[in-house]
Amino acid sequence: MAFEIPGQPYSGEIGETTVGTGSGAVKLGGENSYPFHLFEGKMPNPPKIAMEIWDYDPSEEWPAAAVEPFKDVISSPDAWAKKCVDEYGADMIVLQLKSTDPNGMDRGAEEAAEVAKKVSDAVDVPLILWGTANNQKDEEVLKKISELCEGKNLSLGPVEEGNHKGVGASALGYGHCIVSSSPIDVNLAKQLNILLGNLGVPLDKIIIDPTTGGLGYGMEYSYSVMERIGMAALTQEDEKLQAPMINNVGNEVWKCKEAGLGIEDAPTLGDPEKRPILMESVAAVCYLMAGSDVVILRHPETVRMTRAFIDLMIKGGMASDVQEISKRLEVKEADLVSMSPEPNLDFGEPEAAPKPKAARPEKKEAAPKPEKKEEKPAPEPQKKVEAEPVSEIEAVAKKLGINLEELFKRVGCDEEDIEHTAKKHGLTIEQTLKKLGGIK
Amino acid sequence: MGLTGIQIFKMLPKTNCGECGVPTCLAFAMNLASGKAELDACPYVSDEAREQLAEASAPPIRPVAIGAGTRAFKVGGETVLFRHEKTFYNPTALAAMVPSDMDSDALDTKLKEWNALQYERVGLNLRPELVALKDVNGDSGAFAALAKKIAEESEFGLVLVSDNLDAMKAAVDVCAFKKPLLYTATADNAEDMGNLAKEASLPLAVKADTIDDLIALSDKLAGMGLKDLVLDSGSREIRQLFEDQVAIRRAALKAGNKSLGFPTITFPCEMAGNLDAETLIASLLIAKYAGIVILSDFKGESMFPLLLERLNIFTDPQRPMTVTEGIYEIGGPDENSPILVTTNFSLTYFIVSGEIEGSRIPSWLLIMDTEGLSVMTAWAAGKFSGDVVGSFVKKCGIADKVAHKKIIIPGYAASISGEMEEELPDWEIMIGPRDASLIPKFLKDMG
Repeated sequence: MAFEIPGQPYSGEIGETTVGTGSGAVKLGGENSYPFHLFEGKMPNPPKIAMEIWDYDPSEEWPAAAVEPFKDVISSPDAWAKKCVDEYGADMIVLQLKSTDPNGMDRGAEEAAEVAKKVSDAVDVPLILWGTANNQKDEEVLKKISELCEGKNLSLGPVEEGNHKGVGASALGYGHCIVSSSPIDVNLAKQLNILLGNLGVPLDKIIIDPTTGGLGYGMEYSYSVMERIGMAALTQEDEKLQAPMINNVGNEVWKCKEAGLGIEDAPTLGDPEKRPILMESVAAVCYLMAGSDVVILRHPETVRMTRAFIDLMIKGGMASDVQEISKRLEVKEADLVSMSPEPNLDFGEPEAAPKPKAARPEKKEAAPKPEKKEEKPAPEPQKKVEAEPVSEIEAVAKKLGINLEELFKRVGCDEEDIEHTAKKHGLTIEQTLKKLGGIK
Repeated sequence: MGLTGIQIFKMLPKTNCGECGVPTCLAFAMNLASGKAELDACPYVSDEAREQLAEASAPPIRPVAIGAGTRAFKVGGETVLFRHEKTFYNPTALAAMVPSDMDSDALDTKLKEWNALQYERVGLNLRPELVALKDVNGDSGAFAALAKKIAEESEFGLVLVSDNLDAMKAAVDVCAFKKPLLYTATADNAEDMGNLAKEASLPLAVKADTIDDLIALSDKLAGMGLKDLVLDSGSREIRQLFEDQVAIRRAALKAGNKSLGFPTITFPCEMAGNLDAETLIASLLIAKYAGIVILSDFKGESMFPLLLERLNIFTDPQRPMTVTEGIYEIGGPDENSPILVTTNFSLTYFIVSGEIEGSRIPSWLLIMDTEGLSVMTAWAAGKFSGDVVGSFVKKCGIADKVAHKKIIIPGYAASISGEMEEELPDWEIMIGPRDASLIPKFLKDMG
C-alpha cells in the first residue's frame, strides 16, 4: 500500500482580515491548515511582507547596513514609504511612531498624526501604525491618527487591554483595523479579542500581535505561543483566536547588539552587512513557519530573500535563481585562521566529550573576540561548562573525561541519583561513574 | 510503542539495583515508556522480556550517534511535532561540504577558519559539528586522504558522500574511529553499503526518490541488521522537502511507522546557488524536523544566525534559561561605577546587560538566583523580596569592589526598597526604571 501522510484533522480556519482600501486593499489570513502544510490545506492569502519606516531620521541609531538602502529618503517618512513600495516591493508599510515615546522625543499627537497622514497619502498599500507600547500615549496618538485618516482602513497598534476601549472605539468609528497585542500568552491574546469583541470590534478587523522576540533573544517564546494559537484556532475551534498574526521582526532583530557589531569588534560573526540581514531573514522564516501572516522587515534584501522563500514554499520549484545578498558596503575579510583555537584532538571516548573550554587555549591575544564579553555570564543550565568543578561528582567526571551532562541525559539521572546509587552499592563515586560511563 | 510504564515495569527484574542509572525499576520503566532510556541500560532483564520490550521500548525516532570527541553528537530521538508539547532533544547538526579534489592546504585553511566559528552563549558553546566530504571524481585515494585529514586534524565529525564502494571502503579504513556517517545507500548499492556500514558499526544514510522507496530501502537495511539509519527523501525542492520532513516525523510519531523512525539528512547546498539562500532553507529545516543540514560553506554571518535559531528552537520550554548568580562587570567598571541588581532569567540578563552596555557607562550588574524567574514573577513569588536581595548584596562581595553604597533595583520591585534598607542600613536603595530600555537614560541622569 502506498505511503500516506498521517492526516492532521482540522476543525477551524483562520478568518480573513482586509486591510487598506480600494485597489490597495490586502487580505490577510484565511488558511485552514498549519503554516505551509499545503498537502493538507490551503493558504488562499500567502503571508505578506510589510516594511517598517520610522517617523524620524534614525540614521544615528541604526547600523550602517540598515541605513544604506534608504539614505536618500531616511529623513522623510513619506518618501521613504514610497521607496519601500516602488523599489523594494513592500506589500504593506508600517510606520513606527518612535518619536512619540514619552521617554524619548515625546512628540505630540497632532504632529505624529500629520506625519501619518502624509505617509498614508503617499502610498497605495495598506498602512499600519505602530506606537511605543505606552498605553496612554498610544491611545492619544492613535485616536488622533484614526480621526485624521478616516476611512483609510489603517491598522492601529499595539492595542493592549489598557487602551483597547479608547483605540477600539475610535477604530470602529473611523473605519480602521486593530493590532491586538498581548504579552506572549495564548489566554491573554484570546482575552483581549473577547474584550474587543464586547466593544463591537469584529474579528475580521483584528490582527493578532503575539509579541515578537528577537533571534537569540526569546524568539522561542513567541514561536511556541504562535504555534499554540494556531493549534487552538485550527483544531480546537477557538473562534476568538481565528485571526491573522503579525510579527514586528525587523525592529527586534536590528536592535540587538550583534546586529550592529563591526568586523573588528566581532570577526567571527562574519560580514557585518550580511549578518543582520541573515539574522532578520532567519527570524522571518521561523515566524512564518510558526504561523505569521505578516512579517514586518527592515532591510530590502531581507524582503527579497523572504519573498523568494514564501513563493517557493507556496509554488514549489528550485531555489537556484535566488541571488545572493547584494552588498552596498565594503568590508575587509577577517583573518579567522589566526584566531582559530587549537582543536581538541582527543577522540578516545566517543561518549565522553571533554569540556569545550579546555579546548580553547592560548591564541586569545591573536585577535579581540568581543562577543566573549557577553559570555562572562558563564550561565547556568549546563554546569559542565563552568571552569571549576563544584561537586565531587563533577570533579571525578572531569578526571575521567566523562561528559556529565551527556551522561545524565543518556541514562536519565542526576547527581543525586549517582550519589544514591554509590551509597547503596558501597561504591565510590569514581566506580559508579566508570560503570555508568562504560569505562573499564 | 504503546506500553505504559506500569506494563513495562512488570517485565523488569524489580530489584531496584540502580545500575541503569536511575534508582528504581519503576523510574526506569517510566523512562522507557517515554523514550528517554534504552533497554540495554538494564543488565539483568531476561531475554524473554527483552524481546517483548525491545519493540515497545524503542524510541519512535531512533537517536543516532555520529562523530567522536568534543563535537560528537546525536540526532533523532525526538518525541513531538511541536516543541511546546514537550521539547526537542537533539539539535539539528550543521555540516559544510568539501569536494574530494580540494587542495590539501586549502582544506587546512577551511578547517582552521571553521574552527574559529564558536560562540559562547548562556553557558553553551555554539558551533557546527560536521564536514561532509564529497567524492567528485571516484579517486579513492584522494577521498580517503582528505577523510583522514579531516578526521585526524579537526574536531569535526564526517559525512562521507560517495556511491563508489571502493572509495567508501578506503575512507572508512582511515577514519572509522571518528564514527562518520556513510552517505549513501540507494536501491542500487544497498547491500554493499549496508554490509560495509554493518562491519564497521557505522551509521548509514539511505536515499530514495519517494517516501515509498525510502520505506522499502529502510526495511531492507533493517532486515540486514542495521540499526543506525539516516533518511534522505531525495527532494531538493524546498516545498516538497518540507512536506517530506513533516511526513516522516508524523509517520514515526503518529502512525508508529518503524521504517521512517530515523533522523533525516538534508542538502541546502544542492538546493540553492549561494550560501545566503541556503541559510534561509536551513532555517526552515532547523525549525521543521531535519536531523542534519548540509551547507556549501560555514561563514560567520550565516552560521551565527542559524546557531541562534537552533539554540532557541531546541531550548527546553519546560525549563527557563538561567545565568549564574554573581557579579558581572560591564564595560570595565571601577570603584565609583553604579551597581544594579536583577534576576537570573536569561532574557532579563540579556536585555539589562545589553542596555547597560549600550549606555556606555561602565557598571556592576548583580545577578541574583531567582530560579530563572523574571523580575515581576520572582517578586510575586517572594524570591526577590527585600531581605533576600539585601542579604545577597551583602554576601556577594560587591562592597569590597566599590567605594560607594548605592544600589539600583528594578522599577517593578520598587516595593522591596524598604525591606532592603532594613537589611542594608548604610546603603542607599535607588529605584530604577520599570522598562530596561530606560536604563541608559537613568544611568546618564545619575551621573
